[in-house]
Amino acid sequence: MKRKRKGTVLLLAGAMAGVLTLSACAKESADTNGGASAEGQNGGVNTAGFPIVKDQASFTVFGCKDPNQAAWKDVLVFKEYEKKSNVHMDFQETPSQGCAEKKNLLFASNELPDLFLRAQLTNDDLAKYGMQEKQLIPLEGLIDQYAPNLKSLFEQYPDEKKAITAPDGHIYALPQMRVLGSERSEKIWINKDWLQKLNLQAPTNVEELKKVLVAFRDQDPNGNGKKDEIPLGLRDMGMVFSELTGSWGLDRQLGYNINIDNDKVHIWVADDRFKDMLMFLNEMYKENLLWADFYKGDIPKWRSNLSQANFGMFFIQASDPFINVENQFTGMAPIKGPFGDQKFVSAQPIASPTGTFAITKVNKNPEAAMRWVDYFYGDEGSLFFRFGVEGQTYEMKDGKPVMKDSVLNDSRGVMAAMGDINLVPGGGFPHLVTEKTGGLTNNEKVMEVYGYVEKYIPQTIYGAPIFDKAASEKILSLRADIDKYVNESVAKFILGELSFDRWDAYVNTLKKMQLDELEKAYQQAYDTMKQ
Amino acid sequence: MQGKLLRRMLTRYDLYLLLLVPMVWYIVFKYYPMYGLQIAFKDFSPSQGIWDSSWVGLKHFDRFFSSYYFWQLLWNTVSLSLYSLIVGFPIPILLALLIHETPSRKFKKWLQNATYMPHFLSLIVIIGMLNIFLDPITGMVNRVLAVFGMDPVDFMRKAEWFQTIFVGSGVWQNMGWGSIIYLAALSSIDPTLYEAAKMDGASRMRRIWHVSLPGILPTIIILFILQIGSWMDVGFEKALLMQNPINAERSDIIATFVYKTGIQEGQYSYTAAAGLFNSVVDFILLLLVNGYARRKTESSLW
Repeated sequence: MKRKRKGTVLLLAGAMAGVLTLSACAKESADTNGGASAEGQNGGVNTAGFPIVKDQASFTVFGCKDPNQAAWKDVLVFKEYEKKSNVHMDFQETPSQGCAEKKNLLFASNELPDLFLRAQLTNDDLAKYGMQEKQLIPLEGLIDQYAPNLKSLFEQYPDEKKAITAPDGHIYALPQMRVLGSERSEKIWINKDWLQKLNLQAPTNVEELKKVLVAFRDQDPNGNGKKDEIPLGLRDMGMVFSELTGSWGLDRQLGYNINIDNDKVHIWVADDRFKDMLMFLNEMYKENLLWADFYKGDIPKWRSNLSQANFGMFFIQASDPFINVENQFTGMAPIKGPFGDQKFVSAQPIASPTGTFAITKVNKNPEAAMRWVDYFYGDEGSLFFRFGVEGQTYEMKDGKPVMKDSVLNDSRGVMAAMGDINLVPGGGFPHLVTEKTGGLTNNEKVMEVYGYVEKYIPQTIYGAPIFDKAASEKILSLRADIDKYVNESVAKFILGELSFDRWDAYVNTLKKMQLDELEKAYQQAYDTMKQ
Repeated sequence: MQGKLLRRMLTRYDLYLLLLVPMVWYIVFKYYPMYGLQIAFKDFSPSQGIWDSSWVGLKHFDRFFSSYYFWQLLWNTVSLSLYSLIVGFPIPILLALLIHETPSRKFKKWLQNATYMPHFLSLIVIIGMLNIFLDPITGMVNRVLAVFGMDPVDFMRKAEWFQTIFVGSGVWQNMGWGSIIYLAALSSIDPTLYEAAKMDGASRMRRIWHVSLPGILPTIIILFILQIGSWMDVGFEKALLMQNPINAERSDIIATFVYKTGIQEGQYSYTAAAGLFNSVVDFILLLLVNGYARRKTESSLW
């Protein structure tokens, strides 16, 4: 009995060893293949004009697909552009949900596509897969030679170029360039019809805001006899840290909960001002003034409330999810907070999001890829990307492009109709957005509402820095605990699951988690960036 | 001696061919992936591959053990497993005994069907049902509470309710399924034993205690040890689906932590260490319980 078992074990071990060596061999050969393809000259790329290449070039592309977008191979702009450029894109897009997961696995297994397009690459990704792993190739040389549009944009906005350059001096990904301020800023929307009906003015301070919200709740402004009005809407937990904070003097620099005064970086999540704002939100929640589902991040529910005009006051960049009722709303300036602050900090730098386009080391013709994307950074390409084909999807009226009615009145909604034409719904595509090409996401209504917040937006906004290896390791591990703790505690404070008597305990825990170390790390990153 | 074994194997080659299938399965899906475990002791770098990444010793374990959430994660995982085991393990046995003792054949069949139907529902559906039934305003449960003059409770949002809902719904879903194996064991008990007990004047409870239970005890022990083997492996998907920032202090278990930090954020080495720790605890428990069972009773896994 014993002996027999020994035999089986041996057999098993032998089989295992066999499998291991086999797979090891397979791996090695794959690696050498990947290495060999790195060289290769400009692959017959024309340096100007179309088509980009004489013999059709083809790339595999990974990206994240917004629910409103059609399958990318069917998107009109891509189909037209393929004819023009002679570059074929083999799109392998993944639904937004679960996309980050897929992206990480592609990098981890080293099964890289030729391009990452609208793949939501974070700055941490660029540091890790660009600077450290060299899976993404540096782009600055290609930009100089093959991207005249982008090059001139960078000359125009040198600070933005600096911001997207990694600490090792390379550029690993191209950002979206949102020159139009409205495109990169959230806005405060308030229900004009309700205000008029109740004979109220837009609130200017905390007391007035409370009064208005209570009136929205109690006086049935939508006139259906039901108490279904939601006075104040926040889309998700993230909005707690960005939308009302400006009125409490809390800024959002470096893409984090940070104030910068006189070059001094300060993380404010343990500040009394933040506590005061949370107490305000807690009161709103208790009084049924705040949307009760805000902490769940239920986007479909949020959008359906928007399109039914159920919210009295809320924050969003553009009116596309509720374009049918957008005229019920108007904008308002941020309220003056209890400490006299009046800012609106939910805005991004021009070059953001940063990781919208990247070329991997397996790409055999990076020149053609760079030329392919550069078109969208020019005025002509920007118009083409955002509006499609003149006569077919848009018309010029008084020198301005206007989408055709067949798009605007599509029964599926404008955004879904847009999703057949381009990738504007969901944003994050590498291209230029100007006043002229702002389009639907910056229509008249949106620009009107933007007018209310524009002058309250901070002059300089620093995006999230790209950290070097040492800093990113430190910051990642510190933030893992701190962010989780802050997020959970803040939700509990607002929902009343955690009493404000426990605020000191919360602050102490953050101390234990080394919030001060995190602040130092950010200070260092900021100092390097400023040099 | 070697030759003898080989000859024996050759004469029964058909059986060994059959054995080959599960063995290949184990090698491909269970043993081969273990090759990747080494990244728990390395700084995994995709461009260098698993083999060539540099060794860093216990750095990732250090970070995990000293992380603020380590004790909370461990306690949540252990207490949730313990709770699941204590409540979830005996109930299918009780149900099997109950079904076994039911005299009416029709009712017996109905009871059995009704209790094991929920097993076939997908987890997503179960979570959806929980959300609907336990809703503070429109939910059935809270309406019943309201009838008795009690205040509504937002069950899904209360950290202290998480484990009870998790375990309770699990029992509801799986008790019927779990009882099938016990029913089979019960039906194999020699009916003459029951008759003899009856003759001796044993009451129904006595018959269950002295005939039924000893009859299925080996089955119970084996199943118990098997459950211990997956002790810390408590329903990862379910915990993840039920999680929100408010109940995270109870619902965050090692498995959900590994998923969120490892798969979603790409910190593979760190979470491989956390996952390995989880498995090692599992394995030690299995050895202990199996050893105990072998000493105290006749049955054990090996």
